[in-house]
Amino acid sequence: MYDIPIVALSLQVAFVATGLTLPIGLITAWLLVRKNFRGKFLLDVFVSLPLALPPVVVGYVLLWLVGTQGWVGQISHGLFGSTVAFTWFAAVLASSVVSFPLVVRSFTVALAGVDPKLEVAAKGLGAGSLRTFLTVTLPLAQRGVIAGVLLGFVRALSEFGATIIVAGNIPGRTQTVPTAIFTRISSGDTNSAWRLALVSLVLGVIALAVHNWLLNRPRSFDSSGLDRSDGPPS
Amino acid sequence: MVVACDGGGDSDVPLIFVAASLSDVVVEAGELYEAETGNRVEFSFGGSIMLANQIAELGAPADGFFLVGDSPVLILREAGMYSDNNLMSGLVNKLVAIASSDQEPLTSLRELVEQAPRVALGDPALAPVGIFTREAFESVDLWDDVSKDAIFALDTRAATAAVQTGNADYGIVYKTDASSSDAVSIVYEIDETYPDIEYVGGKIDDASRSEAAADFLTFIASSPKTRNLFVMAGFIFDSPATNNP
Repeated sequence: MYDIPIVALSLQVAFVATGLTLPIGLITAWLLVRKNFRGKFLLDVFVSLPLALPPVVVGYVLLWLVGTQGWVGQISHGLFGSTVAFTWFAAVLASSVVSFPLVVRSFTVALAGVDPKLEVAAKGLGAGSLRTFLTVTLPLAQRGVIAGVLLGFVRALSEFGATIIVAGNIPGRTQTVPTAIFTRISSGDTNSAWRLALVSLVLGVIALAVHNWLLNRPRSFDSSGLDRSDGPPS
Repeated sequence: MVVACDGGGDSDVPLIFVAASLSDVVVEAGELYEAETGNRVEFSFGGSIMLANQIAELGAPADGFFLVGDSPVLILREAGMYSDNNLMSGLVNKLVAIASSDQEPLTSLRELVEQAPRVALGDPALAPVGIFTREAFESVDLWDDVSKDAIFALDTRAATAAVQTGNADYGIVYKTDASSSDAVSIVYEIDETYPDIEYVGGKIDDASRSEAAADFLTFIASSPKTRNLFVMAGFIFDSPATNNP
């Protein structure tokens, strides 16, 4: 029964991380797909960097930023008398950064699949950029966006390397399913380690099944569907 | 949904960083403390040196500590986070060699090394048990032999687990860890020389809940029931402790 708070904290961390990566990921993906600007290449590399780095390095960089010696940490220490290092929010940061590239990549593919002519048409009818994005682009890219959110969520749920560095592995405070499994394996508590591994497996299978179902189900309402139904018969 | 709850521990519950070897008994002591005082405590367990560095170097939010050996205390003291006021001392442990339960007892560390086994040791960089182990083997000039093929574990519990799961033939751990598992038994009580293994408990000077942490540590030191828990787990009190001012 010690498992329930651990699973709850893991879900909480993954939900909040997803809540952070969704809006920031959408803006980033939109910039990468629709805009041309100096430094776009650098933004692309920077966004994907956590995929290429060992998660411990991501964790160490985060700790260096938000810990007592980092500038973010010193500001927050000055303002609130504490830092987020070794708190559950540090686990959120770790999960967010590590899952961000996956989220942005899914969003980029989804947004690139939306016909820009539809956005031009919406603007021609008087909609502003934000309204066009929210009422035309986003609904058309909906499936890919939801799939990206789910992918980010499972990655956040399984985050270990960055999390254990910046959030530690404190039971009841920052211990997530993966770090609890690590503790249990390290201390030879194999049965309870397997139990949590099974929980991970179930959560992962559910999220991936929904993800794949969203990507593969017959298309009903999205850009290509509209194109075909509205186009001239061939 | 769980997003709304704070999930990060209650703000008035102290967090105490505790040596891995104390994990079982301190959890029990925490339950006893809650039952008797109504106050809660939370713990983070690990190798004492790793935990001390988390507090001193990385800003981990510990309010108190209950660690083993001189090195962690030195780390905290040098960081200016701990001024001498041991709330819990006089608790000691011993070093033993363990193996899976069907192994024959040994007569010396040399006999262990001569079998060229895989030995699980605490990593001296993270866990004091590794430092004590190194000193014991160095005193008989066997450290190089044993360490070259050793499995270095994060802490004494991880070294015990390596033997328990059959991934190591022998482990050098605290005596109390050996009795925490039925799958392993003591094959040799190490009497080669190594420093005294003594636990030190104290509060982190400027931590926000250091008084609450101090209250728990004082409780452990003074309550006959918690002292009994330690004795039952195989720890030894080498003095009547520092409970009475």
